[in-house]
Amino acid sequence: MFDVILEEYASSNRFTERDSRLKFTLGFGALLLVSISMSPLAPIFVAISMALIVILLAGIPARVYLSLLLLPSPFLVLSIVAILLITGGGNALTAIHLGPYTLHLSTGAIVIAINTAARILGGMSALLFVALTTPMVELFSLLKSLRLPQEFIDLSMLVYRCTFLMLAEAIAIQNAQTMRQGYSNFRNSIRSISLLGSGLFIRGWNRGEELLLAMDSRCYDGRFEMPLKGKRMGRVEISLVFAYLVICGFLALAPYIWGSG
Amino acid sequence: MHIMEGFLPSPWWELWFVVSLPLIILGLHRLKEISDMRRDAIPLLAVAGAFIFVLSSLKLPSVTGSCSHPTGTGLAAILFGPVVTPVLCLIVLLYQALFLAHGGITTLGANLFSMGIAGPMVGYSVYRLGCRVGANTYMTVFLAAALADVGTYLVTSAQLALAFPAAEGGVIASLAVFGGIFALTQVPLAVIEGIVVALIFKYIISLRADILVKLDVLTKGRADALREAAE
Amino acid sequence: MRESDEPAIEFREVSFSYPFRPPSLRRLSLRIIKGRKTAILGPNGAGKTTLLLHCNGSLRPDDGAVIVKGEQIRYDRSSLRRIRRTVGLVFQRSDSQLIAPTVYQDVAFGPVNLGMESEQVREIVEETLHAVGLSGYDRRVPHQLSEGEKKRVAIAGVLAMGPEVLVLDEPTASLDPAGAEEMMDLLDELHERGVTLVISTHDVHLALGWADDVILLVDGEKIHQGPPGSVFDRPELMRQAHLSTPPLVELVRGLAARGVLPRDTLWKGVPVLIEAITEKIPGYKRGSCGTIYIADLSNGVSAHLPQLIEEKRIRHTGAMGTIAKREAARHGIQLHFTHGVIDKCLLRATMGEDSLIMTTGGMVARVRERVSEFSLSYKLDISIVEIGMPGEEHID
Repeated sequence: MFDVILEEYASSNRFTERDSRLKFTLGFGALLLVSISMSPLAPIFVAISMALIVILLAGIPARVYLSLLLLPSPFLVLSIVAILLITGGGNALTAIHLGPYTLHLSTGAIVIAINTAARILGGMSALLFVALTTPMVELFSLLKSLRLPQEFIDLSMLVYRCTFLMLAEAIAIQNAQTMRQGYSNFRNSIRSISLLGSGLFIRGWNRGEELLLAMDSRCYDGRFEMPLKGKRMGRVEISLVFAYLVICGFLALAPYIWGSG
Repeated sequence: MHIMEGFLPSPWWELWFVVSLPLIILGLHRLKEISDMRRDAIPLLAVAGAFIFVLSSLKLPSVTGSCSHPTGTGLAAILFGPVVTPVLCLIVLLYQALFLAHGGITTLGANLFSMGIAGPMVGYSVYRLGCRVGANTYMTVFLAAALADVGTYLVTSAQLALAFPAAEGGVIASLAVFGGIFALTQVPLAVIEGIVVALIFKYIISLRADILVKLDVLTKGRADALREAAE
Repeated sequence: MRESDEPAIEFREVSFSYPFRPPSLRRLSLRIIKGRKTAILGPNGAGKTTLLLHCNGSLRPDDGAVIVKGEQIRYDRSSLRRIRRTVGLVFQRSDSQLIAPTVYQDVAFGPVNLGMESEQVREIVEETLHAVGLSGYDRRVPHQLSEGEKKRVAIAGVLAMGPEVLVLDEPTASLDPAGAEEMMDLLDELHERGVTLVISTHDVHLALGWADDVILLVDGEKIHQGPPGSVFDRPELMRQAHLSTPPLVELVRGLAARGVLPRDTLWKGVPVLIEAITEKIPGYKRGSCGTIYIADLSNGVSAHLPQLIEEKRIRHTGAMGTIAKREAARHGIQLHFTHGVIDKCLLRATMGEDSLIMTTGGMVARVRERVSEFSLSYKLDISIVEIGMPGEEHID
């Protein structure tokens, strides 16, 4: 039915209570460094270390982590293969003949493919770190510190709340439909999904009106309070995060300094 | 179609943020305008955002057997307009990345451009054009949603092609390859989503056509005509 | 009773229809008296929710007027804001009322939109969460809470605005029996602090046992308003309202009709009923009554209670109010009663057993009053022991 919602893990792991600014810095910092890295060293380092951090330290089950990481594999594999076959540079290795076309496999393509795959693994790991250890509500304070407009943040917070309500409704409707063979064949599935979609839309609209009624009943004047700030971070933790990012940065940028190989 | 985290190399992933930025700023500006004008704007937009998210979490039945998700952005553009839809998509993409590990944060700019800006613009234009020439409403909606998806997929392919040009033939050849590969899944998906969106539209009209009138999606005359035809 | 008979909310010939629908309220006139507990009783579709939505100006009558604190509601924005500060509305479905991502933000919503400063808001939210028994829930997320918790957050959100009147639409609707009891106890506690309460319900037993004043609403019309007793007197009213009579009320009526009980006996609770029946049994000899210990927790006695319970072998303990319940939990005191505590302890006392009531502030006096009244009416020897710091007090 629906993908696993990571929020459940995010609010019940061992890192839940830690300062979210630290988690964002670590996660997004690593992500940034992975994404500007010229060699696969930094991404691979991040991929392995993040996996260990998430599984061993934060306590997320390995099975869950791996399934999330490998989720987009069809897309991934296809794309990597495409890259291998069409990009070039470096020395030619072999040629593959497909009818009138000849595809050349070159070292350059392999390098690009490896870099890309590493970057994806590293990037996904960093993303998963944030997604699995940080409850979404922490995000709003981050948005505010990024100086995004208050209407946007208010809207995001409301969307957050409405999403959970609507998801619950969608699941309920889908269950009811399934019990009545709603998804037994292609044609029925199309019909059921459409009924579901229109039902959600209409209920959503009503919910929007209810929402306004609820807000007005409490004298809505365009204001929303931000969530409470969490625990302050300790010096040890800051140093650890800093050290980690320095290592990543070094691995990411070293090739620039010493010339790429 | 989401480009997953880390797929795009520098400087491409940064570039798409820059490209999307002006339109987002426009959207945010409009958001402020609307919320100042109408008290019920923010709650309704919130529900709209939730709707897009939930819709895109559904699994569509597909001929190829793999699971695919609708983008929901075509329908969003028809219902909520092309200026505000990018803002809603930004929130949805953010939540998809952080809730579902779908897409990514560095690729947010690229995905936003393809799914939140380009696709909706295509969908919206097709819909308005169809309305203006008086074409059959459901056909128009079908085309709008399907072409929005096609537009998204083409832009995504272009984004990949630009980042990974072919050794022989450059970007064009690369576009052909990526476009060709993803056509297998994306074109059927676009058709199916088109059908589903048209059906959703039909059901909404038969139950609560007034909502579509309030949203300026249909004129009252058209809504009444369609509703009568449905009975 | 102690309050004046001033109406907090008044309806004068209010009529209202939703677009394209038959009237939901028909020339409705009623008065909600300040300081009282009013229950609006009626079947589904009677118009209860519509009525409540008029109380805070969410709906505007087609005809007639709604008056709050002596002033007719005007429907411009600033008047409505004022009304909604005075009259707080808690919806039937908590999910409709909880709008923010965290509990703190939701409860803070009212105060923030009333223009209060952050520090003040923080204080109010903490106080209010404490009042509904949800301290420490600040950073929790609504969709992870139980129905009962969600309901309390919703109430907290409304309370945070300091309303004089609290209106609740079917407060026990989605709660299980234990949750419903806790809810009514919370409402009693709020009432003790001076809030006028109005609830709507289709639960007859609830309304009749709790309310000071009952309004029967059927098809948008008020068919009766009066104290609970007055409703019992007239079974035809209950029939008209499509309400079923609670079995115990039927029992009282049946016994009264047979002359076992005086004809004018009204439903006043189980202890009264038992006394009224046993009085009539010739040769019935009651043993001596037990003692009711009252612990006023505002005196800081809670630490001594576990010892007292051991010493005096008290086997029935009840707590009234959220503070009392929290203190009980803190000291590991098992609670046997959490609602309708006084009645249950009276019952125990008449059976010769001792009980302990933990409560705070003004409720202590109320407990004492009721126990004395009961003892006097039925010539019982229930002793009351108030546990304070130095010394104890006996009342016979």
